[in-house]
Amino acid sequence: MSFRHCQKRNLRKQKVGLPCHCYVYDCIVALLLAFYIDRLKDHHAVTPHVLRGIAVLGRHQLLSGDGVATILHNLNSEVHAQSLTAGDRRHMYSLVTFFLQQRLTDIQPLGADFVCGFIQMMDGEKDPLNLMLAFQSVRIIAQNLQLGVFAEELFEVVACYFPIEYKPTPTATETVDQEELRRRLRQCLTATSKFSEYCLPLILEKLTSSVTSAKIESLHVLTAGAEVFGTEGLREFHGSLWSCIRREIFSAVNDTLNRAAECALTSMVTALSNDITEKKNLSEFEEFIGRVFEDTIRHLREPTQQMIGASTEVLLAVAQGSHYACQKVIGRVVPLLLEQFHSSQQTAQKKGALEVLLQHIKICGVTWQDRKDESPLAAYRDSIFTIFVSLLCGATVELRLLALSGLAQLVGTPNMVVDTERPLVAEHFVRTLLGDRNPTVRDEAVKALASMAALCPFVVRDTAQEMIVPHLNHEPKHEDESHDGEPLVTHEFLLKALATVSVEHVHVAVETTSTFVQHLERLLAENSTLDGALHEAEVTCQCLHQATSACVTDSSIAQNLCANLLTKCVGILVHGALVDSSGNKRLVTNSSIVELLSSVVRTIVQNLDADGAEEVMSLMVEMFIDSNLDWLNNAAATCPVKFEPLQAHIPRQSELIERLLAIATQCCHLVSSISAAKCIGGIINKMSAGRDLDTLVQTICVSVTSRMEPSSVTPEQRGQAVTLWTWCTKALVLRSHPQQTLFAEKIGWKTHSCARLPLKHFPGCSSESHDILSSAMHADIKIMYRQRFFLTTLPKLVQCFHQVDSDQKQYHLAALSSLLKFMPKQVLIAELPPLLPLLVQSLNSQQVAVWLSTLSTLSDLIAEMPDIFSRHIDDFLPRLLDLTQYRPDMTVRISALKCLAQFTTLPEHVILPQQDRVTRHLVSALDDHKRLVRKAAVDTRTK
Amino acid sequence: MPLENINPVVYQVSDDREITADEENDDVVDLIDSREIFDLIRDINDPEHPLTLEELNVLESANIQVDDKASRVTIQFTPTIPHCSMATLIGLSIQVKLLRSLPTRFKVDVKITPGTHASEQAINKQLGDKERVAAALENRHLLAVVNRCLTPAK
Repeated sequence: MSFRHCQKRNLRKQKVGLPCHCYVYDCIVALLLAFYIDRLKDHHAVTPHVLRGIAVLGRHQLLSGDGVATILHNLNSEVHAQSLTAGDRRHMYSLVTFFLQQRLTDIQPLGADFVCGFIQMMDGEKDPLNLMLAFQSVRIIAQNLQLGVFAEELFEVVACYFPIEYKPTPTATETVDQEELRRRLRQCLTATSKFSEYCLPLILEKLTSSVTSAKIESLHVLTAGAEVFGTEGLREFHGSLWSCIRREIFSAVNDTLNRAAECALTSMVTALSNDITEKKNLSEFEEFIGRVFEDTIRHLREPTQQMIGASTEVLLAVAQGSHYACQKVIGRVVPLLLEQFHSSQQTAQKKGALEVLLQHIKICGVTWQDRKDESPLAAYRDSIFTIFVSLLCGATVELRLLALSGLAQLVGTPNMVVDTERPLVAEHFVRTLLGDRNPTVRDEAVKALASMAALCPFVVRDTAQEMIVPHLNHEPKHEDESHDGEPLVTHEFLLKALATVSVEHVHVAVETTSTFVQHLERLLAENSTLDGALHEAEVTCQCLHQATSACVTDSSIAQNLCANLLTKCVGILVHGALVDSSGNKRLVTNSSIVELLSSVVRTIVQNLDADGAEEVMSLMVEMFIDSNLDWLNNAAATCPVKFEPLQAHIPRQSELIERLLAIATQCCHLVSSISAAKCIGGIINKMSAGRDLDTLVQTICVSVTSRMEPSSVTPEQRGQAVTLWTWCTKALVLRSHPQQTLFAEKIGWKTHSCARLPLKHFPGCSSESHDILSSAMHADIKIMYRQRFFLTTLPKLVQCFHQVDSDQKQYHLAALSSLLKFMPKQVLIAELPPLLPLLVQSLNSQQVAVWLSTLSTLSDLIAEMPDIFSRHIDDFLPRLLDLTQYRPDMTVRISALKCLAQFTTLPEHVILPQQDRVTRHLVSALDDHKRLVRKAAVDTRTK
Repeated sequence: MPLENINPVVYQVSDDREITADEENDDVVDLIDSREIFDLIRDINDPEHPLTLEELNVLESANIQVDDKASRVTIQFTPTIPHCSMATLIGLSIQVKLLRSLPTRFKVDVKITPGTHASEQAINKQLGDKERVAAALENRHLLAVVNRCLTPAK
């Protein structure tokens, strides 16, 4: 034994290490082969090792064709595969698979002998990994070798595994994918048309069983095999197969099963119509499809329409099979449905017929997509089209809705609506959306028009311009008022409709943006003081924003148009600001309009390239600094300045900042000062680090700090100062500037003398804002800025907390809870434990506000970190239970109850010991005199 | 076990109770009213179907009488079919839920709406018997079934 092992090992080493010297090598391969083959005849204990050797040797490129034959022959005759372990068998399978893949020409002469040997080899195989290989081999064998008399045996040796179920044991190290295993088995069963006479009866047998998974699997096999077996194979069986499929689809038990049955049907139809060139096969196809029609068409005729869904599914599955089948189905079904539509009196029946018709049209459109010749629907095109158009004016809402979706679908189906008819369809849509009495129908018309806009933008654009836009120019007609006195179609509806349509296609959007701008200009010029006017202007701005967003997706159009639109928007704003200096309240300077228009401008600027952005920037700054605008009221001009996309260089920065600072701190117009503050925030955030930035921060620090003291200035001025401070803090936090802590502590807890205001702002400091400091605006946002902010700020916060008087502590706690809220869990796990005493202490303080903020923080944290709270449950519970009885304030009671409710999410072993005490304690809360408290108590107690 | 009522009628669910200004005022005393009791038990699940008692119209706000001063609650529920074998279980679930959610001073009567069940008398008697309800709740299996009914589906 030891000699052989040693020998083998040596030889293998030699083989790997030998130089690539062909002559010598050839000899050695032959010699090794003879040696190994001889060893196969040896003691059975050696066999596994020899197999391993042969597996390596067999893969060598210099192995001759004869060698392959010898190996296979001897494996068959000398090795009893069933008595080897699974691992050793795998060597054999992998070698055979390798031969079949790489040396097929050497195996083919062996023919039936090899097939017989292989069948013997894989007989009784159970290991899923081996089966994967074996199945792969069977497929190649069935497709490439002469099976001779062994066709049935080869089929049987794999068919006995069908339908294969495999669940890997949890301990198995190597597993196979069940789906892959099934797929390979399926490929075996359907590998060749020779298997059809064995495979189809097997499928039939499984289909008549009651196991759903077996049915589904056999339908998959049928789907895969139908085309391989062809008409010839299916001839005897298609009748019985159809009755099985029919049963599955009509009984509609299981969705997956239904889908599988439909796929199988489709693939059978495909197979049968593939060979219809021969007359004999044509009659076979006709017979099959005749049967299908017989079973389904009559259901379409039934007035109750009970089986209509299932029958339609069948017919659609057939139509998908081939062009010929599609033609047949359409020819048979469409006239029937049309007749049924005309003859039936009830809306539901008409609707049912049309829905089925639409499904057929859709399938036909898909099947005929790549064909040049005329679609079978062409003959019925006109009548179908007429039906849908006439329905639009019908009395029933349901049918009108259906007509809209139907027409939209017809437009989407190739060759159903010719080019000249498209404007007509669009016109119908528009007329419906303008004139229909039912709001749902009008909304549906907008959707239909929108879906059409995606397909033929120019038609829709022109129609919309012609028919909708004029309505915007005059007041809504009051003669067609509905019952409640509202005009039928409001400007708001039209504007929103235009916006919906324009987001579908750039070409439509380009046109509508100018419509919106015109409309807005007109509204602003009228300057009506009514509420309605403001609302309409807002809607117009929103729509303009939508349309602009759609435009900028296409860069080529965007650059041009956007520059145009940009000047218009800014023009409106600046003009408005100038006119406004008289002090009258005007639409254009209403903060919401300014805000919305700025967001339009932002959308455009975000999508400009670097040059464009720079240009816009310098224009803005010039306008802002040089023109003698009355800056006190110049709300509009400040807005666009705060955008600094793509890090474009800002000209004359210091001059700009000086002005902005003045506006932010001294201007009496609220919107202007906030905008200026945001603008400064944006500049600080994007300025490159260095001395300039430090000086700027220092300047702001000095000038604002004094204004934040309550004694020196009015409350409004303090408010402005705090706003500016907040934005600066935010800007610094986002870029993780070292000064962030200084700013944050000031705003978070140091301005306690009347700290209401800062308290409100602090939570925002560690988050991004949607308009200015966001990544879309190219703000400088450092990764992990939140963590860094947290880690640098927390120690100072805790330190301050311990130093201040008790009446100040609430601000510290509020700051703490807002800090905790934004932190990711991983950071908190490390940081939270030292903070817990702080939280307990604050619950024991005497301040209602402190309790409330602590309770809300606790509620958020408990679910996040069950482990930590499980350990400290005894510290919290008694105090929480006391707070549920706190008479003077119901909000405290409710928060305490909600917080308690959060404790129920902790693991069972933690809460069970407490359950009794807590539920008993909560009985008194159930009888609270306030209903809301009782509600919270019930929720908590019954959790 | 086969379903007794395979295809029950599902009813519209009423909206949540609106919170009034009085309810947010700490000085006003809110009495327990029938709507509050209804809100407590409307979400109980039917033992057979994945639907609530409100959706099956087993419970209606109008069938609940409350007297907060006298600490009495009377509830009538309507089984979906006259032979429903689950009626006792439904009644028991209502009892248990109120036992857990109402102050202890209340006396709760759960009954079947007159004329809606074949063995109305017997079930009313069972549900009215304090001892039997207590005994039923000591049955661990039964308690598990009741708890399943009381656990909100959402």
